[in-house]
Amino acid sequence: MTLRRTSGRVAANVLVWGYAGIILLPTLWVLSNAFKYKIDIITGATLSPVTWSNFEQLLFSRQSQFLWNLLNSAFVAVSSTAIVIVIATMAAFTLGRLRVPGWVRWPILGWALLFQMLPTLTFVGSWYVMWSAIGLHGTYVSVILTHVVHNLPMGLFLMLSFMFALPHEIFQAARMDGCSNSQMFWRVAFPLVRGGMIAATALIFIFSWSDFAIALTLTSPATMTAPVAIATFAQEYDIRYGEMAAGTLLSIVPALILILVGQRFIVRGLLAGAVK
Amino acid sequence: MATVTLKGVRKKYGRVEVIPPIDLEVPSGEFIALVGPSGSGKSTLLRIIAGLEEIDAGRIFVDGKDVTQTEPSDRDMAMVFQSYALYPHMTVAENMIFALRMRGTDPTEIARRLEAALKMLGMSEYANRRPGQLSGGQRQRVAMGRAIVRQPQVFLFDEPLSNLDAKLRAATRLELRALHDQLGATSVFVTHDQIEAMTMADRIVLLDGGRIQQIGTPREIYREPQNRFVASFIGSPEINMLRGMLASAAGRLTFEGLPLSESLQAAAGREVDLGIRPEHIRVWPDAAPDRWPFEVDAVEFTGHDAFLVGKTPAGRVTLRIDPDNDRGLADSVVAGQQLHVQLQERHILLFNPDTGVRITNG
Repeated sequence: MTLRRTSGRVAANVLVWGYAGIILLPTLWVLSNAFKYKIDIITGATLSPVTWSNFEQLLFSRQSQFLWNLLNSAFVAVSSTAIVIVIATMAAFTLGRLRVPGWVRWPILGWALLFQMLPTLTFVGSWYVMWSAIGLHGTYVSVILTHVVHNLPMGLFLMLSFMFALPHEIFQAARMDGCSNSQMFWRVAFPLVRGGMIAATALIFIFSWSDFAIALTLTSPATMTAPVAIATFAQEYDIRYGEMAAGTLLSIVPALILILVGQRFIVRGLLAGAVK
Repeated sequence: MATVTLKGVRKKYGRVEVIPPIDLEVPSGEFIALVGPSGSGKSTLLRIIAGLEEIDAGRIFVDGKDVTQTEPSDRDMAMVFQSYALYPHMTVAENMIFALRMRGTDPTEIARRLEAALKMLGMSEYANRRPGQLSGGQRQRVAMGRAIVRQPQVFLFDEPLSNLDAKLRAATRLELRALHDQLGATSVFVTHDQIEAMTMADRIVLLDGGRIQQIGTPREIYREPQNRFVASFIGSPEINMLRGMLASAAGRLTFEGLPLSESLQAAAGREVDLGIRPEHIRVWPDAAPDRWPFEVDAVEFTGHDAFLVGKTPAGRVTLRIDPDNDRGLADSVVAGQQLHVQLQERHILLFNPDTGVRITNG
């Protein structure tokens, strides 16, 4: 191995570990706070006695509704993700694999891309006004549907890439075999993009689960999701660092599980042997 | 068994006309090969017959019935794709019977046909495997099986052998032709490989730029090419094409100093492209009036043949010598050597240098 290649490899390692450090160290610090007394957090002690009191306060105190907030998060994320994935998969099949006129296809994809590029905060004000006007502000419907609207472009592009990864000739073979468009979707496309759907589901779920801006604007105390609840621990006269950290730790768990599950589903594995 | 007829079929992609109006008839039971370089429109034409491409003008008939607007699945045709296009999530058996299931064929009939096809292809023990667990040759068989179980009137093949290695390809070629003879269906076979076309097809349709250059049996196409493109495309190594004056002086016909007989009189006094295949040039050690001097540039020994590439006064030519029958020439000849060549006159083909059309005596 030449010196140049070795130094390139060292540089790449430094870069990757450096990046990992920037992300992981603050996270670890926050998570460690979940097991510290408030005085140790404020004084910045690295090693300190371990306590479960933050979790007790968070889950069982009368003032805290964190369990309920977690359930809200789960309900909103599961519902909105399910809707997004169903629409995105069907739309990706239609736009990517059927004969759709260009004047239909490109405006839809262009608008989706544009929508994806604009910051969420530019829209939340309008959404607040719209949902309030029809009396649905603070309901699950408003948060779920807004999450659907917000995450659909991402879902659509993800599913389109999986749909495009399927060889064109498979669909032509299906046409020769007598499939209608819907049979082509259910019997050929759907089984083949299932892996992609799981990957997309994991991603969309995490986006919905961790959303703050939309939930902050559109939820009421009854429908409040976990990220918003965590933020309420920072109050005017008291910042409850310990409970915030404990809440963060608890809300990371579902996302972490999904990432580990979703990672395994890579569409190529399933596709092996389709062509050539 | 069915006759496939194309009348004035035309296809454009946007403004680009890939198939100018074309007429073609494939008689019932015939094995026809569509051959041409890439971009010649052969695959497009096949997909037009299949119904996978819409056409801008013309009509397609199967046994006299107009199928121009008929769905691909209702044309009673089966297609074998270049990539095989097997359904990766289905087993071999499921892949093969998918079309029958979609049609609602009786399950006992499906089972009977599946068993027969698996047996015919020697794939019975693989029925429950998925395509991903098969070799390239086995996948190709599944793709064939998928077409066979449908018992279609017309088989369409889109370069089905191009993903196989050379050895398997040669064996599959014979099998495929035997299968065609056994089933008796009409077959349209697309390939860019002239050997495949020559060995398998009853007739060859040679395409270039979407236009039919010639239709004929392999022998006709090889021996009587109608134009320069056909002559050059078929044959390996390529036919030698020499440009020069066919001069007529004092009643004697010469081409670049080489005397020729009167049989080529038709083109006398004009510039021509003279085509002669490598196997129709004889090589001699000594000079003679009807021989050109030939300086050897390279010797290519392929085992059963040896090819000499070198210069003549009329241009560069490739010629074939038969190592078993050449008085030891193939083993002794070296680059730089001076030899002499003689063209076998009855095999000379003359073409109009401007239009490329063949000049005949008649």
